[in-house]
Amino acid sequence: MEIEEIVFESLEGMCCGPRV
Amino acid sequence: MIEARDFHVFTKDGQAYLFLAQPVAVFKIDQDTRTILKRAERGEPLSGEFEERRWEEARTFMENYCRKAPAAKVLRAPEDIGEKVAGLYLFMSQECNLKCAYCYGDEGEYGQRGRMNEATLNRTFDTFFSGGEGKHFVTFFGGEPLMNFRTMKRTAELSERFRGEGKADVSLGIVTNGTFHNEEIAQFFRDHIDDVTFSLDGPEDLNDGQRTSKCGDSVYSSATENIRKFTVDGRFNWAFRTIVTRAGYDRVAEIYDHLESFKPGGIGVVNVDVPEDNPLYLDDHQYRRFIEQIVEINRKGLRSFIEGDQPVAFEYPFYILFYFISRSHALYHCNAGTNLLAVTAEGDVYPCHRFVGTDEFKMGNVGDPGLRESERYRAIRQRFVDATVDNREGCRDCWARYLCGGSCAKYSHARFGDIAPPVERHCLYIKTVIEEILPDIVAMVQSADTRQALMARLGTAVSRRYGSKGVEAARVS
Repeated sequence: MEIEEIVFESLEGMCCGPRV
Repeated sequence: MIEARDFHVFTKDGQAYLFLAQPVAVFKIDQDTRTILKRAERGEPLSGEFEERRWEEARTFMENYCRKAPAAKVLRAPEDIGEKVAGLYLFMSQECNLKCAYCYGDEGEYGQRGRMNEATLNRTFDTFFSGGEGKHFVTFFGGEPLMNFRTMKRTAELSERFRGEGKADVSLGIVTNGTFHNEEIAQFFRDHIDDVTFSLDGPEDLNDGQRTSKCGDSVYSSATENIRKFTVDGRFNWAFRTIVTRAGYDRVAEIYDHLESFKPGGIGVVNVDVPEDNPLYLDDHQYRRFIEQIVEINRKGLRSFIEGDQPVAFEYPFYILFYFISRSHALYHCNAGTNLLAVTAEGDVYPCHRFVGTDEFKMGNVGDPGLRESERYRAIRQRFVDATVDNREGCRDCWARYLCGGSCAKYSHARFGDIAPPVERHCLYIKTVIEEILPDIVAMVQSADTRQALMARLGTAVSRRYGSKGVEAARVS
């Protein structure tokens, strides 16, 4: 079985107008 | 014990992926494992010792991973939902100078033509903004809100007063069709408006085919001329709100390109919300084609973001990245019914602008003594608090639930008479976006060059918005 995790760790309510 | 709803396998360009819902994690897997996991996900029987053994191995891996992974961050748990009404849609005017073919508000009148008066406005502020709760967002809405400019000006005065008295810091925004402009309005926007949404449906033939004026003038011509005047000095954030109907279902890229030429801060494109027998309705084939184009535009946006541009259409890669980076769960589609409400011109209160006119969801009136403690207000509010993806039938068993938050409650209610069941088209949309764009993100995260570029660009985006605080945050990584 080959499973390789994709790691995102190292990067560690379009409704109202652009309020994001 | 891992359940079928807690994992999902899919394939893109010959590569198989495994997604785990609870820890918000993604893996590349081999095709044999994919085949067996797919059967398990669908509840189909496994055949033979090899498949049983492989399933046991995969199940053990998934359960161990889920047990060891950091707990996911819940963006807004039911117990975190406070009483503060952070967002309020104010129906300045239930009148409109347009008669858009798809208007859900009965030409902006919602069955009760009128304009908000000063007494209703005052009661609204006293009801929702007197608690010293800090920042609130008011959106002038309608109809066309600028048909009641007088009360808009009064709202700005009231906001200043409430700010001065320490009651509330109210930020004003507006959704407008862009056909009203003069120097007084332009100055008002410069002085008081933080966020503007202009409704425009793309090139002239598309826009004027569905957004028509009651007096026969070209809406496109008037709106675009005014939008250029309004936005020339960039004193507020602004975006387009764009409806795609059958007339434009295969022209989405053209619509984006056209609108992008005005240099907005965002373009919100949604498919039309009309009954199936309406000539504007997108059939299943057209709807899939619409999604394909949205995906392709966002894919292009992701590439250009990495290359240093500021793409307008980059929202889906951005939010998918966010969920994986921060391991977050969304339990709700939005804050409707709790921290977001709408107040009509007559002072009636609803969970959001889309529920206005639906009697079942009228929470009361700002003139009612003790409105926010009333039995009816509390009961309707509680329905929305309870509507998490873990509780919603049809959502609770879906692998995408925590990346999605469920479909719009109004769409569900219009379709099923109940705010809980998800609308199939919403599910198709969100699952397609994830399965199509997540592999692109994986490829970027796995390549040293693009990973570094992505991180640098995200750091820049953060610092641009948050100044030195953002730079420091980016440096931590």
